Amino acid sequence: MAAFAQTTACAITVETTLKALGRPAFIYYDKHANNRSKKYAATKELLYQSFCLGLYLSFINPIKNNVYKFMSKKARASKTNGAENTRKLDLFDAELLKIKNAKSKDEKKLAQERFNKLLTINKDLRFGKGVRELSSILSTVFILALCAPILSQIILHPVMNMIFHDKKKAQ
Amino acid sequence: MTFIHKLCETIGENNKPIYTVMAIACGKGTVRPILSITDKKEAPDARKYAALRELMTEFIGVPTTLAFGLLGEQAAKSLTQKGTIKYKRANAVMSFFGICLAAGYFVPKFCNIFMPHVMKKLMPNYDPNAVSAPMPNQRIKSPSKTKSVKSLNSYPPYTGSIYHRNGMKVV
Repeated sequence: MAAFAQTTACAITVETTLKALGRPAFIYYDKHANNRSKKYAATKELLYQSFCLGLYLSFINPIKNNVYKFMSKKARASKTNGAENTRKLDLFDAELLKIKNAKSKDEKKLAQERFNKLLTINKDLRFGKGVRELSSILSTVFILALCAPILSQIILHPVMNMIFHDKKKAQ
Repeated sequence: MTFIHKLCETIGENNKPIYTVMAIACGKGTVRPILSITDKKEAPDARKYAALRELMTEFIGVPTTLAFGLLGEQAAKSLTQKGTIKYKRANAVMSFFGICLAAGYFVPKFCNIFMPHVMKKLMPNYDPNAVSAPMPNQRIKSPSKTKSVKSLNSYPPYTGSIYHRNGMKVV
C-alpha cells in the first residue's frame, strides 16, 4: 500500500477518479441552483474529470519515460558529480530491468517486493527513484494542469452543446 | 550538490503524494483562470466572474488538501514510532488517505458552502442568475441582416444557467 501511495501515477489516478465522482455529486445536490443548471454543471464536471483521467492514463507513461530519459541524460552529463550520478542511475535502471524481465507474475511480484525493500536499505537507489518520480510529477502537471484544460475547451464544449441542445429539442 | 539533486534524493527517499497534488492545484489555479479570462465567446463580466470563481476554487482547494494531507501525517505519527521504516510508510499512506478524503468530499463541500458568499463579496453587482446580456458587438448587429433562415431556426447557445456563466464550466 505504501509503494502504491508513493507512486505518483497511482496516487493521481485515484485522486482524479474521486474528483470525477465527488464533484458532480456535490454540484447535483447543491441547493443554491435550479435543477437544469445543476444537471448541466454536474454533467460538465463529470465529463471534464473523466476526460482528464482518460488523457492522463493514455499519455502518462510515454511522457514520463521521455522526461526520465532527458533528466537522466542531464544528470549523467553533470560536470560536478556526473560519474556518481551515472553509477546511481545505472544501479536503479538495472534493478528496474530485473522486474521488467521477470518471466512469471509471481516472479515479478517477488522482484518488486525485493526492490521496495532495497529502496529502504540502499541509499544509492534513492537518486534514481527520485529522478523517476520527479519526471512523473512534471509529466502529471504538464498533462493535468496544462493540456487537459486547453484540450477540454476544444473537445468538451461541442459535446456539451450537443447534449444540451438535443435535450432542448426533445423537450 | 545542486538543488535538483537534493530534490531527487528527498523524493526518492519518501515521495509524498501531496507534492504532486499541490503542483497540479497551483498549475490549474494559474492556467484555468487565464483561459477563462481570454475566452472571447463570453461577455466581459461573465469572463471575469468565471476566472475569479476558478481562482477561488483553487484557493479553497489548496489549503484544504494540504491540511488534510498534514492531518493524515499527524495521524501516522500517533500510529507508529518516528524514525522507523514503518513510520515512513504509514506517513505516505495516511497522507494519501487525507488527500483522497479532501478531493472526494471536503473540497467540493467547502466550495458549495463558501463560494456563493465569497463571489458575492468579490463581485457584488454581478448576478449569475440573470439571463446573459449579449456581447457589445452583437448588440449593434441587426438580426434581420446578419442571421440566415437556417440560423434563426436553430436554438441559441445555452447561457441561462447559473453554472454555465459563473465558472462551473469546463475550460
